[in-house]
Amino acid sequence: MTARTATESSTRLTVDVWADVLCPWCYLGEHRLQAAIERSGLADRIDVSVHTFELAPHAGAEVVPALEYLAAEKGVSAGRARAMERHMADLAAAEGLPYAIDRPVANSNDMLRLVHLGAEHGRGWAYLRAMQAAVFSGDHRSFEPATLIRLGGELGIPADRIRDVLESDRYAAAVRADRARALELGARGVPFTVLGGRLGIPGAVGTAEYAAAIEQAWEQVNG
Amino acid sequence: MADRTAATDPPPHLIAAEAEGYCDPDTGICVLPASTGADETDPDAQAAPATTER
Repeated sequence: MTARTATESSTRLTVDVWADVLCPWCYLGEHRLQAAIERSGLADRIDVSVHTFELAPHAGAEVVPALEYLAAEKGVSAGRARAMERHMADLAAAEGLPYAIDRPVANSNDMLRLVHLGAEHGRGWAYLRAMQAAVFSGDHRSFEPATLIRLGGELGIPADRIRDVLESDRYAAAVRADRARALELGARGVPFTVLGGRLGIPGAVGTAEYAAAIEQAWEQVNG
Repeated sequence: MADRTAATDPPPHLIAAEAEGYCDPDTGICVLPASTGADETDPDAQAAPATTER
């Protein structure tokens, strides 16, 4: 990492991240991005701006096991789904992350709308990651209002605001707009990460690649 | 750490580094690199959507 100088003291780097709560590669990629930020020596100069990307807007509201969902909704064979999930679980385990193959899956629109509420409180990124932690650890109550209120409450988001969102369609337009914006910017893979408004990373990469991108973007914003 | 700012205006330069994996924005299907061997235990691979490598 390039040594910071006095002239850089006011410079900040924005990292825009588009993700869905239910997206395995977002779960893994965000963990790696966060690790890269913490190791960069620039954590206090980096602002993560979370945006939603709804991957399955037509998914049903009923909670079903992930393997069943992949077979029924996405046409993925049971064998392939199991193999993919086992591979993802191995990758997650290597990074100390829980990853339940039989985790719950349902429509994520409520969760994504709550990410927008969280962002209004400066906790969108943290709220997204808290919901992911619940889902990927296999908590089948992850989608329940009580769970979403508890997770938000732990981040300082008022329960009445969360209930208001869940009982309305608030932020639905924002979820659609975020998705459209990512596609407009060339997101051909989710998660989609843009550093300094200039460098885009479609999909998840390793911690080292995120670290290199942070360094490159930091040099650009100081250039 | 701020949470929400205006996203980039002009399209960003996409980094050429190969993604380890991603979820397809159009289909919502999450794919793995073909080199993972994840298909080896799949008895139904012929009927499944292609797993691609970028």
